[in-house]
Amino acid sequence: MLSTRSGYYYWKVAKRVFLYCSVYLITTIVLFPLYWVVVSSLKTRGELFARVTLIPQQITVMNFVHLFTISGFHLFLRNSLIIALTVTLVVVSVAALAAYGIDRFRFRGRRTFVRLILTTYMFPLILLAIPIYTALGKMGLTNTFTGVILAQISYDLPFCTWLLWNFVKTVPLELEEASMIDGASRSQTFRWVVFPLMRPGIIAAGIFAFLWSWSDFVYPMILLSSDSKRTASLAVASFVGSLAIEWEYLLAGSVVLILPVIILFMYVAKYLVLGFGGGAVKE
Amino acid sequence: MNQRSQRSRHVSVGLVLVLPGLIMICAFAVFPLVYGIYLSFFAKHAWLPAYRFIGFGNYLRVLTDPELWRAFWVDLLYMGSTVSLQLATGMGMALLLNQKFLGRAIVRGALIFPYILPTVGAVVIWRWMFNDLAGVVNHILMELQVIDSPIVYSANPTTALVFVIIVAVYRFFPFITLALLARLQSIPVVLYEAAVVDGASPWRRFWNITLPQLEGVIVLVCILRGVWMFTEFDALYLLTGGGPLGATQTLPLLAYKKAFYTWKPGQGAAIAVFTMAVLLVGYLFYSKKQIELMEE
Repeated sequence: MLSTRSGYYYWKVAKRVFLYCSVYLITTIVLFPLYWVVVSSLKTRGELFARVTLIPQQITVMNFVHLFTISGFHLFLRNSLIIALTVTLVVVSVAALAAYGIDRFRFRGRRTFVRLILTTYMFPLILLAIPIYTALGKMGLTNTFTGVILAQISYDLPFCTWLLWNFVKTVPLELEEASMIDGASRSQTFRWVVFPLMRPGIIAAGIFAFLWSWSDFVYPMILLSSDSKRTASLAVASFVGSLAIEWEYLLAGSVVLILPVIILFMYVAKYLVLGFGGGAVKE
Repeated sequence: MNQRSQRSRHVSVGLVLVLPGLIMICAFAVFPLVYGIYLSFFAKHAWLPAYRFIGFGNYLRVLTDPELWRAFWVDLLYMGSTVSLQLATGMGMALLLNQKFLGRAIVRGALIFPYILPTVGAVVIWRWMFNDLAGVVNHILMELQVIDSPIVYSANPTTALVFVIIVAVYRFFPFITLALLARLQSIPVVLYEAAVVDGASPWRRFWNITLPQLEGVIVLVCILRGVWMFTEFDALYLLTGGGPLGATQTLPLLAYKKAFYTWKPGQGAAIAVFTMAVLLVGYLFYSKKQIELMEE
């Protein structure tokens, strides 16, 4: 009674085609800027402005060479790395301890503290930048790495604490109690039982803190005045605003800035999926 | 050890653990906030150390400045358009990703790229793509004969706004997609099966099952994105710096300008406090509405 190819069948095929087309179209649009910036950074200035080509006629790495020899970009990268690593280390360790403390201990003002953390997360950077700049100025910490580090910590810490608190909540209390019954002290328990179980969260928080610090240019812009202390993102940002933009170097600089982020993310992505979903994300 | 001393030891160890974090958070998060409010009551040149307490003087000057109200309006416009477009795009993509298809995992992984792309990188890429001499966008538009000559997006207030909105939607719609997708995947399939048996059309299934299930996430995500778009500084500053004659100058940009460009941190702080007050009022309205809805 059923015809071999009913109208319903064609409708289903059409839906499949639509699905594949839309999904891959959107993916192409999403990834095209990445392709475009990499390809553009490998073109010569002449080709960049002569015509718009999808595939470069001539590939050159001179833009990158110039970036490192003449512009001294490696110096800025080093600065970014120093600051980002310090911020990450401090934030993750303090946040992990604080998260553990919040979840496991009842202390006065615990509720308000949690609510405070959540609301500060919603605060935009620029609103806090003015008082932070003024305060750091009074402490004589403008134009220092320390100042930038402190400023960035101020923004990162509440969010990472909240993030890690969500992970601490998933560690069952029974495990700790068992370990302490077996004779371990609380700090030993934390180090050997709780902390390893929080690992996805630690990694997530660490990645977040590092990436944010790496990408931030506002605090370095406000606080640093020496050219040599600039961070990589600040260096690229300051060239964006200049009147005669040398696009080929700007594009190369952006690629150098972006690539570590992407690589780091791809490497760590599996931890994030595990962490945030807690197994609830279906594949 | 008796119960009592064990418990107090319990509590003090906890405090020791938490104290560094507590102190740091108070110092770093609470202090700037309080200090910012404090600063807004003073007239101070950013370089000179002299303070002059002027009470609400800054607020008076700032609230009577038409530039502030213009920035407020631009900010609302920016927030409204970006969040709604992000929601639409994000939801569409989430619904698509909820289906099974070949390469789904790869697509989902690739989707996060705009969100993790550093702001500076995104700005360079998009400004390059919209460049009037060598940009892809102008090139394509001219090839398709939509326009005759390249548009300098930054010269025209309207195109400048459209430009920043496009960039914002690109960068943040994945956030919405991933949030919605997580919720979508936890909706029990039986709900849909029952609806199909009852003869519901796809549209009705979406409207009566999917949307209500998503409501909580949608509201949360819209609030978060709303706050973040309203207070965005980084990208806007680098993309247009306030746009042609303030066309893309939002409140955060104005606060920055006052504090760091005209060297009046008192006024900048006042604008910042005003921005937060607006958000607070918005939040209060929302809570009130929630309570009213619950009492119905």
